[in-house]
Amino acid sequence: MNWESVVFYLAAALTIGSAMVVTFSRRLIVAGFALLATFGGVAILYGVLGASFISGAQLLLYIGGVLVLLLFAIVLTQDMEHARISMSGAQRFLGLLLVAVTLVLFYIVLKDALWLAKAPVYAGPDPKGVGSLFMSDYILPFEAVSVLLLIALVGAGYMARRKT
Amino acid sequence: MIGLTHYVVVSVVLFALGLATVMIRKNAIAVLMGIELILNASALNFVAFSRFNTASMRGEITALFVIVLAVAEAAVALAIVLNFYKQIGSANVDEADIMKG
Repeated sequence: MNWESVVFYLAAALTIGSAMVVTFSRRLIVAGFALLATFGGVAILYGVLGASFISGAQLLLYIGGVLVLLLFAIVLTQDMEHARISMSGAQRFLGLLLVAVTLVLFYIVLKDALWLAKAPVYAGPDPKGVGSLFMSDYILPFEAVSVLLLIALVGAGYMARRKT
Repeated sequence: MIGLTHYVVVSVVLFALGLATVMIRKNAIAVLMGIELILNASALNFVAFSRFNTASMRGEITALFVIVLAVAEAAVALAIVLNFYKQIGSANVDEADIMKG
């Protein structure tokens, strides 16, 4: 076992274990904090893959942005004294069944798949490559996404404001 | 040695859990968490295939777009949830059955 395998298995266990907590936990705030571990685990997996820029973006945007928004929404809309969300045993069983069926379906589809998987290619430093692609081939989607972000922020602020 | 299959397995399990979260949860915020899990699984797949197959970084660009769009979606969706909570007094998706505000 080299260091890459050790880090990969630890990060994969962290990701999947905390994702199971997100799915099956009875308390919404626990699910929210478990999502922190899931995003962190996926960021570590990006790091193992050598995609350091995506790893940083995942930390900044998901943990710093999406997760904080989710936690704010939870504490604004839940009554903290009895914040247990109703989840019956039947719901839990259905969830496990759904996970099992999805996994079997993916196994049937993927078991004969032929991927031209070579060894990982480390094509130079990652942020440099991503940045030069954004500024050359992907300049139009890049600008479109920046306009979309502006619209989304203004729209979210408008919708969430107190009506006078 | 960690191969492409390892990453695909992690991504498939993450996707299945996200799908189950969307289907069995009643609370709108929990449903959003499931959507974030699904988006994470797809972005992980994009980066893994991009790293293992070609020397280009186009898959990573797609993963970055996925992350940015997920942030925009979360901001707008949570504003909708807050408005819905102000109107109905709960955040359960099965109570969102009126068309008029």
